[in-house]
Amino acid sequence: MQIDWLTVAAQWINFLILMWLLRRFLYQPIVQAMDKRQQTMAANARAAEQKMQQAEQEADNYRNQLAELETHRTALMTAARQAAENEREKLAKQARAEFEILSQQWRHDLAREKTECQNRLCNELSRLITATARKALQDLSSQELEQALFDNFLNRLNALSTREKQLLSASGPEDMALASSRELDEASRTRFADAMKRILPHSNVNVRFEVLPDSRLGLILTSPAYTLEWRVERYFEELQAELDTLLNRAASHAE
Amino acid sequence: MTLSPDDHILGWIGPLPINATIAYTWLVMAILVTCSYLVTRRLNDSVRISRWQNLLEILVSGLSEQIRQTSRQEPGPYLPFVGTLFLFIATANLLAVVPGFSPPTASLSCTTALALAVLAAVPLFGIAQRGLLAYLGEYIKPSVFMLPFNIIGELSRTLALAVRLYGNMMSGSVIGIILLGIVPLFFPILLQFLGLITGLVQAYIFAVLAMVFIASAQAARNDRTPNPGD
Repeated sequence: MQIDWLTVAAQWINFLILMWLLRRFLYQPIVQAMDKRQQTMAANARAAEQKMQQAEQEADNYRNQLAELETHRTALMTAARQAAENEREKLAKQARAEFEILSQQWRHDLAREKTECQNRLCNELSRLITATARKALQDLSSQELEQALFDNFLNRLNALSTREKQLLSASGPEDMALASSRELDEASRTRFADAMKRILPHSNVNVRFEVLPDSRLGLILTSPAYTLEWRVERYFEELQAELDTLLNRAASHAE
Repeated sequence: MTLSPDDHILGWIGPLPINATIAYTWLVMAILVTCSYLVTRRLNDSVRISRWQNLLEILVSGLSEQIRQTSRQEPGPYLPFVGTLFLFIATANLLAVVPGFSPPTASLSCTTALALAVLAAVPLFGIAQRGLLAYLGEYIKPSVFMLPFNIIGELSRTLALAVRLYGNMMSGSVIGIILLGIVPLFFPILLQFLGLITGLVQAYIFAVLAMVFIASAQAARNDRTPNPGD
């Protein structure tokens, strides 16, 4: 057991070299790598923390925006509901107005149609009644209806009161006109002229003979101050009044 | 029976004899430096690292932590010295199980060289930390009469370092050889494994003691440093 000082010196130098080599190839790189990793991880942790804070801030922003949107949405919904309600009321009012207009129009049309129908009915009835009366009169008395009417008209003329005769003659005989449903024959015209002379002996009777435009049954003596007439429409007007009463009663029962 | 590898001359470089201690020291150095170079040439400072880099990082961080616990100081300046002591002794001791390998730490010359390195490092670190006069002043404390005892203390602990490592490693080898003669089967293998543990423990003891000596040389200054918490 001896100490070889040459070996000691060599080992001493070897140790120093080894220390330098390991410092160069082991300790420094490893320590630097660990330090760098630690710095990187610390930087990552800081970055992550910053991102977390940023994310939380953004989340807060989004929450605030959501709250604002919710408020805005509620306001919009309220306004929309109000607008819809207003629009509904407006449309309903408009619909009611239109309904009222249509209803009035319908009632008007109904009344018009009723009137037309009644007119047609009256015309038809008058035609039928006239034809029936004419036939019945002819069968019973072998006399024309117009002739019978004419005779009756002459009787009424003869039966005029003094006042009516004054009115009839006041305007002058030149303005008189006799309108009939058919054109009168010569004999009838002569009989009428004779009758007028008897009634108004002091007047120069000049009567114009005309035909009624609607060829209805009737006789009308017109002067500017007085009118004597017999028209079958009078009867029909009464008949129409009674029919109206009956129809209105039936309609009120139906409603 | 050759007890010291110093006596085993392998060759000559000029007039200098290359004995087994120096040769195997070079082998250990080559292994350590090559392994370190191969691993650290492709270092990765990201989270995903190779297993060898992981191993070296565990080793270096373990050494640093040990130095920090022992000296209560930052390990940066002491890591190359103390770490190299541990790695060299541990590698040499572990390679003792390889047949034909003669650990250089079984040579008193080698352990003496390492102890002398510690002997030189203690004042160097002390002076570097505290200054020459302040360090030398420690030798005459608490009295100038303590100067011889302090010097003897320095030398004796250096001697103790060298002889402790040498004795353990040499005895391990010698016991192994003797047991081969007495019980040739199985038992020497167990003893070899025991030798591995002993080798690691000796490397740890040597490195930690070196650190303790270095740290103790600076303890006085640290004791006088006012605590920032006070």
